[in-house]
Amino acid sequence: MKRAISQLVWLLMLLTTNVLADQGQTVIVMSLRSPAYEQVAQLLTENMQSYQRRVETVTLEKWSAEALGGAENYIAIGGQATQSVLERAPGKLLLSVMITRSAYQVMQARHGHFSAIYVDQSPQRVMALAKVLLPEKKNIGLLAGNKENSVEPSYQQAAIQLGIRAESAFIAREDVAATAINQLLEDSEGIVALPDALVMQSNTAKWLLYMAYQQNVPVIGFSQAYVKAGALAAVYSSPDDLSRQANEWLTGYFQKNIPMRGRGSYPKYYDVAINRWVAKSMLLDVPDSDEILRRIDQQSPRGQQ
Amino acid sequence: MNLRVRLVMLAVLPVLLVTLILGFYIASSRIDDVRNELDARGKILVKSLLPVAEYGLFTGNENILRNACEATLREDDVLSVAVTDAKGEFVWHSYRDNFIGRPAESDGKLLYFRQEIYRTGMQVSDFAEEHHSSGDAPALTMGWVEVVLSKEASIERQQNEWLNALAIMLVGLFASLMLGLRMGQGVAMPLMALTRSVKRMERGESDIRVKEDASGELLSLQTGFNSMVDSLQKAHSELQNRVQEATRELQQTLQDMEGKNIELENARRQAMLASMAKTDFLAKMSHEIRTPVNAILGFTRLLKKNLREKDQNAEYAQTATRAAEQLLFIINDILDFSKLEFGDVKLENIDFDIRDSLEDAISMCCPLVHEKGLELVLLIDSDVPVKVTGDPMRLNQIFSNLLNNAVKFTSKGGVTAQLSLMENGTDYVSVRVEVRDTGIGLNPVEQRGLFKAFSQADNTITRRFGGTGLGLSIARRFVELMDGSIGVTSEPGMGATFWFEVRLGKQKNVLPDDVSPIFAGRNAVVYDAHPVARRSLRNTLVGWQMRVLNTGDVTKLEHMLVNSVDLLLLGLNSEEAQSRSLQSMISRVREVYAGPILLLPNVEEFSLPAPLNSDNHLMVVSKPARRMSIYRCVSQLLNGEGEVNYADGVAEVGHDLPMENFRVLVADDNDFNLMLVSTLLKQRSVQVIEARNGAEAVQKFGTEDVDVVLLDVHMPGVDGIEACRQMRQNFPQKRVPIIALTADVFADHEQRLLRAGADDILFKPITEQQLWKTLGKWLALDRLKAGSAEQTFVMAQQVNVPASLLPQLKQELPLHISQAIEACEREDMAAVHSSVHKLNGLAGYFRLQSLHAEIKSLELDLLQMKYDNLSARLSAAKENIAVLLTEMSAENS
Repeated sequence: MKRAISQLVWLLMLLTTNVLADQGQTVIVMSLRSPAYEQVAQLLTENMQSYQRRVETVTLEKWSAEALGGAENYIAIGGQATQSVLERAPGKLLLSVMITRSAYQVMQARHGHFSAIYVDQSPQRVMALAKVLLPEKKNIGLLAGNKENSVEPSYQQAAIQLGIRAESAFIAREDVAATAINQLLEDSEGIVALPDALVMQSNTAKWLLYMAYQQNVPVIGFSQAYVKAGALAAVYSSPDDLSRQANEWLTGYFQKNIPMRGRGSYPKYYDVAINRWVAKSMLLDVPDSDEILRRIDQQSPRGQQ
Repeated sequence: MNLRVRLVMLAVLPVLLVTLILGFYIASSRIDDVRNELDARGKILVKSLLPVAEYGLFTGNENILRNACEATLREDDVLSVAVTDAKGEFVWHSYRDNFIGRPAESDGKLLYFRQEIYRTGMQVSDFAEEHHSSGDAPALTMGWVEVVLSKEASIERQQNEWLNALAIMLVGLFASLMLGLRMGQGVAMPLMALTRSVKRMERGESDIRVKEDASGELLSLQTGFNSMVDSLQKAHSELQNRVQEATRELQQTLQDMEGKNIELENARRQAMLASMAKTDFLAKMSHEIRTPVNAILGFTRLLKKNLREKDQNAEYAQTATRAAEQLLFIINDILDFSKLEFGDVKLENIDFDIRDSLEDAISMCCPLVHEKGLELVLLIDSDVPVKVTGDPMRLNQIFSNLLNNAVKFTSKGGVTAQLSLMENGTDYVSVRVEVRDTGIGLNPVEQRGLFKAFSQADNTITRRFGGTGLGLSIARRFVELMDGSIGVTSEPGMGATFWFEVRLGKQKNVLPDDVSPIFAGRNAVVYDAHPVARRSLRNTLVGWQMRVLNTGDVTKLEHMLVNSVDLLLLGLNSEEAQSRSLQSMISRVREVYAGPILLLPNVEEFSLPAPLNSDNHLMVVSKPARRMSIYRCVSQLLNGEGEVNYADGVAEVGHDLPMENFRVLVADDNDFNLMLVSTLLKQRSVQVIEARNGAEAVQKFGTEDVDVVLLDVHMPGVDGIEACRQMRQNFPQKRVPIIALTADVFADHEQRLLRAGADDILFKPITEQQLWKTLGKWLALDRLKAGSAEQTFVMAQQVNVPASLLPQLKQELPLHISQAIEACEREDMAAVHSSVHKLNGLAGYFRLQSLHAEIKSLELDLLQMKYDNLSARLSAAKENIAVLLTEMSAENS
């Protein structure tokens, strides 16, 4: 039913492409059709329609050239959608949602500032989680990707802020990931997998989890999926969390004339995922989620990211 | 193949078959299992190595690969375990000493497994785009895991499986064979013992028992068999006892039956004797009654002849004659009935003219008809084939009975008899004779008992009309003998119609008889007030191809006679025949017509007025007139004296034959009869030699020169039959005709006479006419044989054959006599008889009396299988035929 409604929406969108050029309209562009993106688009649309804002949603592949440039307000969901809007509708008001911080930084460098809500969590929040879960572990390893464009420095900085001793290992290439993992496992009691591209490789993640498990070293991931795959825990923001934050911005902008920040921001709202089987296997005493969230908030208050 | 072997086969063969199939199947399955197991093991080993190998290759840790390979190599049958990189270079390779190198994909003794190691991962990103954008590459080949297994152990196991299966099969077979043998023996032995016992029973042995050593159903069978044998023995014994008892009873019954049969035989013999006595009594009674009656009739006729017509004594003589005739009629009825009751009546099957038979009966009724003044008419339908075969005498008798009955019960009016055709088959005809009278008639109740013996419609009838009441019963019996039917339709006061239908044979080669060209085209006028009589007369003349005008109105007669008329037939009823009216009618006719007149009055000729005799062109024949009589008179009237063209039979020969030179031996023990016959003969100047018994007759036959013998059958001492036999036996050279005189009515007497050598039989009472007829026949024949001067006369009679038929006769007679002679030469008596029979028919048909007599005698001898001088007799007949034909030719030319 839901799918049918979406298809209807897309059909209407196609028929009214020229209408999108209206300045009173907001166009939501999704990188692709996925449940998470559609959920976010729907929540945003519902919110804007609540104050009579006309909203049109398109996927990137359906977004025709004729429709470009007419609207003043764009919301891009995903990195590719953001890239396209920046390229096809330069100078227009853009809010990007669910973009990684690393991608944002690359696009910002090329197209200038624009507003964005990252999909990844702030290093302070992640490191706070590591501290909450592994308070006894003195050496926390950070598995990072290519050193040149890695988020590792911010994590290292967050570790320092939280008083955590962190050692980093970088994966120069995919085929030598094992070396970096081995190296990290030799010195670390816990590992934080950073949201770099090479670290996010599924093969790297698999062997990280496998090798860490062999050596009884817990891994802190960056997503719910990581936790399900064998990581001990992760902080994450759901589509609801991201939509909630984006709606707050949009409402402020359209209803209260609060200008967009024009820069990227870590998610304000998040949750924590715990793999209790892993915790049990590694004989770790893990508090309940609310307690963890409370402690993380203590370590890394939400307004400070 | 005995039962035991069959049972063993039955038990073992299915087991053998199943064992073989199962053994093969199980062994094959097991071998496949071993092969598949090895294959599966190889695959499992390779797959189990994959994660470790992937990990080893990911980490580049050779120790991991080595440990994994070594561990795998320690598995059974594993010869080699290797992990290669993506280029196929060994990263680690563990193998056994006997491993000689990487085999081809398929080797007889090795199994080679190779599995690609892919780089695999797991999804760690929550959102798809991040996952894709993370640059996660598709699965890549990291290297290969190779395992080589040895098949030797597997092959050995397969061989073991085969051996095991074979062993199991053999054991199974042996076990089933032993079991089959054991079971077969257990079943077969009792059954075979039973079979042997049954065969012994078949051979008749009864004291048989089988040993009751089986179990289950077989034991029941053995027990049942023994019980059955017991029962059979018991039943057999009982049956034997019953048979013996029944045999005893049967013997007793047979003895009783034999006794009864003897009694029955005695009774039958006595009955036969009684029957014979009765028959003999009837014969004697017949003879004893007929003989005096014969004498009475003969002498009264003689008396009548010698008295003047107006003499009172003539009336007495007439009365006596009728009384005697009535007595004879009654006796004949009684005797006929007796013969029918005895079944002693055998129908003849001879050629005859049905008209003659009926006319004979009509003639017999004439006196009574005239006396009662009735009109009696015989009407014969023109389509009736008159030349038939059958028994003319019996037919005559049936018709006479009906006719007499009709005349008897009709006081005024008339009686009409009609012969009509019912069915005309290829070799038979069905005819119906109806006799209609205008008498008292019968009610239905009277009709029902009419044809029963001794039954008349009313007892008062017997008293009123007389009669034995046997006439119709006899007629019915005769009709039934002819496979016909008889009946009556009548209403009281309306007259009655008696009828019968009989089937008669058709004569073969029937030729037209009396169609004489001399009458053809002649004009005749017929007058008769009685329409049926008029019709009958007309039919008769038309049959002779005459042109006929007829009328029943006398007033029209004169007008009809004005034109050219060749003949006038006047049929007169009894009133018209009275003197005065008759003379008046004749006078009136003569005024306009001077031609021939044939008067047919319904009265005796002698009662007609004398003046008629002066008319030379007038002839008289009393009604009912025979066709022959009419023909003869018409012929005379139209052609003149001596122009009689109708060959009217032997009677005329007898009458006309000069008798004065003949010598006749008459033998009769009854003086009356002897005297009567002698008187009759002497009246014709015949020389009579008398004999009063058989012995005297034989003696005189030898001493006297006689031309014919009249021999009474019943004579004391040597009877007629014996006398005849002695005459033929003692004087074989004398071929003198012997004519037996008998009053016997039984068929066997006739046969006995013919066998004894008699040539002809005259049944008493003998009429004068019969006597002359018979004598004429045989004396004429005798003259022919003797070649006497009288031969010319006889031949003149004989050769009187229509010219148109002469060629046929000339052709047929020589042909058949030649065929008879030829058949005689080759001793084919059946063919001789056939030819002689045809000759007999021809001679009889053409009235060739002498030849007919000669051939008839010949045929009679053939019938009795008398073949003496047959060849000579046939040759003589041939010569006679030649002479006869010469005479005929001369006559016709």
